[in-house]
Amino acid sequence: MGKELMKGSEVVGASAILAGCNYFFGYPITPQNEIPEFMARELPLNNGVFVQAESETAAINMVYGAASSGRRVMTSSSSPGIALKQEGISYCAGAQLPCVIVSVSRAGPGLGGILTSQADYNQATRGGGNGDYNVPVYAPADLQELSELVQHAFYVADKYRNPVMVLIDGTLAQMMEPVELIKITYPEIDHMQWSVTGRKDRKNNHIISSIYLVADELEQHNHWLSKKYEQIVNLEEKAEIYQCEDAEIVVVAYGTSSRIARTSIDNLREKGVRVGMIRPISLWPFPFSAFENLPCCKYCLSVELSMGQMVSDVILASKFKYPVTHFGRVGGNMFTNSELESEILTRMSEVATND
Amino acid sequence: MERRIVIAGFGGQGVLTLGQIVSLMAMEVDLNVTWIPSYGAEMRGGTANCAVIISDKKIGSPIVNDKIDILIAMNAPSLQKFVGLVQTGGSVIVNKSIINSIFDNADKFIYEVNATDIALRIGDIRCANIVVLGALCKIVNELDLSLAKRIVAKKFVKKCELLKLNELALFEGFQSI
Amino acid sequence: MTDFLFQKTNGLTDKQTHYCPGCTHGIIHRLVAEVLEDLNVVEETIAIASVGCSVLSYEYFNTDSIQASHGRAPAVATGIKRVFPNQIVFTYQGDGDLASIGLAEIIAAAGRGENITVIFVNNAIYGMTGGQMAPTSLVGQKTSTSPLGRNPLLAGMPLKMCEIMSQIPSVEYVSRVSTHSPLAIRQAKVAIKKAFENQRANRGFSFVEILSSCNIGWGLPPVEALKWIESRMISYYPLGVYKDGKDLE
Repeated sequence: MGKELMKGSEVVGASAILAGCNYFFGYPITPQNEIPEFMARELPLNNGVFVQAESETAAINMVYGAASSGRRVMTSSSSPGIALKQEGISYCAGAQLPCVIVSVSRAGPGLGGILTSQADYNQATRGGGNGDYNVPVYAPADLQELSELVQHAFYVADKYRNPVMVLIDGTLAQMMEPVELIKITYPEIDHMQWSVTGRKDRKNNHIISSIYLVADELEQHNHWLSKKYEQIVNLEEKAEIYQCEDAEIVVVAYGTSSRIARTSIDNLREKGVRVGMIRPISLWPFPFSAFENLPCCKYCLSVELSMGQMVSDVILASKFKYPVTHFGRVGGNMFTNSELESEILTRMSEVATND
Repeated sequence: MERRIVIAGFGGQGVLTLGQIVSLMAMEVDLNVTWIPSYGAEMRGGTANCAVIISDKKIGSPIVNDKIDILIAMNAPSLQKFVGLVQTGGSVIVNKSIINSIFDNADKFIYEVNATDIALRIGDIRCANIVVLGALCKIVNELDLSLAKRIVAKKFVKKCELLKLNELALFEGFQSI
Repeated sequence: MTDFLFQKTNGLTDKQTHYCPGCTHGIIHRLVAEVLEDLNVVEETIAIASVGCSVLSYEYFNTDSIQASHGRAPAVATGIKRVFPNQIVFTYQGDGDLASIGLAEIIAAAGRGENITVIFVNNAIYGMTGGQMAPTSLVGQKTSTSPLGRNPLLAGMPLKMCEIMSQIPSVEYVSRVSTHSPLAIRQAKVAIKKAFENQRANRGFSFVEILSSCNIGWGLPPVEALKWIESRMISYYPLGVYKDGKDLE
């Protein structure tokens, strides 16, 4: 197939189709409009279905309906729109429906701004829907990885019968990079045991529901879901560990900010500064095990385009062995490499003084 | 090697397309490349810009908000907006046809190209961006004129009537500086 | 061989319903189920249950079912119908669900002309949550959130959904029927049947509003409640076919 110069939004759509997703339900919101536009153009060519819903709420409920068939289904939106989808995501989790939600985050709170931001870390990893549920969240840092993780998200959704989110931002959605679209082969997962199709020759009716009015039954359901989430935590962590063997300062960054951080780490390494990076690829489950082998770490810097939403996870991961602080810009602004490098050097000199 | 290029102008001057052609050229010679446009509300004002980074290493942020190596300014507001971000020793290609403003150029290389005039003279104002591409090929080692010819032909493969015009535009741009 | 004079329809399961004695939900369930059986589509039907008294209707319809969140049944129906365009998909929604929290979804699904059937049960009250004022509660009707009676200056006039739905160009069929008498019930079945036949023939969005009693919520004995439909509701919500055929250019 070879490499093609592709826009992030197109990579999302093309990779979903590659993964066998034939159904997309969406609603316009910047900066993710190119995803529904791509799907509106491409899906009908493959006998797929695109519906522009009346709202994000309706879109996720169309996903809920279509996912009941056991087929691969996707929706996408951006921050305030993802907020609206949280209701439906909780229902999908409760009813154990596999589906993929692509979140292209922008700056908030409220209507906020449309520029690049990572202020939806908590929205993605903690969710805003009701009840005890979790959603695996994948955060790619380049468009090749985006293509892989969109396909992976469908597999994980099917494997655990749970919604899965791919979290990117305006930069990754709008930028172009050379990408090779490669179909990843995963084990086939059969949904015939539960999917709603019309009863046909079956004896029993299939019912998709998240309602359990008897406390003991709901408790049992909650325990079952928790067991599933525990399994996801044990098996589905993903992270990249970069230059950490001897690093005294470890930067923790994902997505767009990890791209900037990588350049800074390379620049500082050339000057002999012992700095490395842990790049969470799964934000939930947070890759705690990546922090287990940091023999020289004296300081952790959580670098994000938010006011520090990931810091609490990094502190948990640090097991309080070293200090953790936040560095970043917000509102749609991005820090430059020199800004990040001077922050790292400042922290480095603090560490040296404390020694 | 890393080239941080910003291309800016009016909507309709083919600024985003020019950025994509440069990206495709870089891809063709196995360099890493990123392209990113300004988007959203910014798009509505009639101005357009994009940033292209070409590198032999993994590219960090695709956004160029400092240390521009090459600025292509197709109109005066774009020049004003970005010229301050061009680093010492950097280059500025100015569409001289419609930019008269004087700016501090002591530490930068300035290339004046009458892109709009040349485009009009050879037959179509819309190929001003290709004229500039010709000029760009002269100042960037990695971007070769024959490569530009090939990529432009591929990009406009559905408009074969533009083939000769674009080749001429490239040549004129290349010769203009 | 035994001859049966009357038999429970196989469109319903054997599950005993949770509805209050005197409630007409049971009758409406049976009408829908009989129609599915008459049309021989029970095994290719997907029912969308909503939120409200009929939240558990998926336990009673002998079909595959999806339980939807409050008001979103038409969106859920859209999702599954687009996957299985040849299956029969219907929503079963009450007045709070359809005419309040789910207004956007019902109007938009109708606007798209989704080829689904909507069974809209209007009993002029929120039954499940304990008798609050509905968008269809009548002027002066006392409910737990309109203790002095619905005041049109504060709450506006009750919404007339059939009248609203019939204005939407892509809607195929709109009818309002009632359950207050055996004759009304027989007429209701005719409308429901038409709404499902339309879907089977790919004619598009069909909407049947069924005036229903909530004797507990209204604080009336069951027979009085049926009379209340006849004497109070029908004058504000006239029965009849509001639309039969799309407005196409």
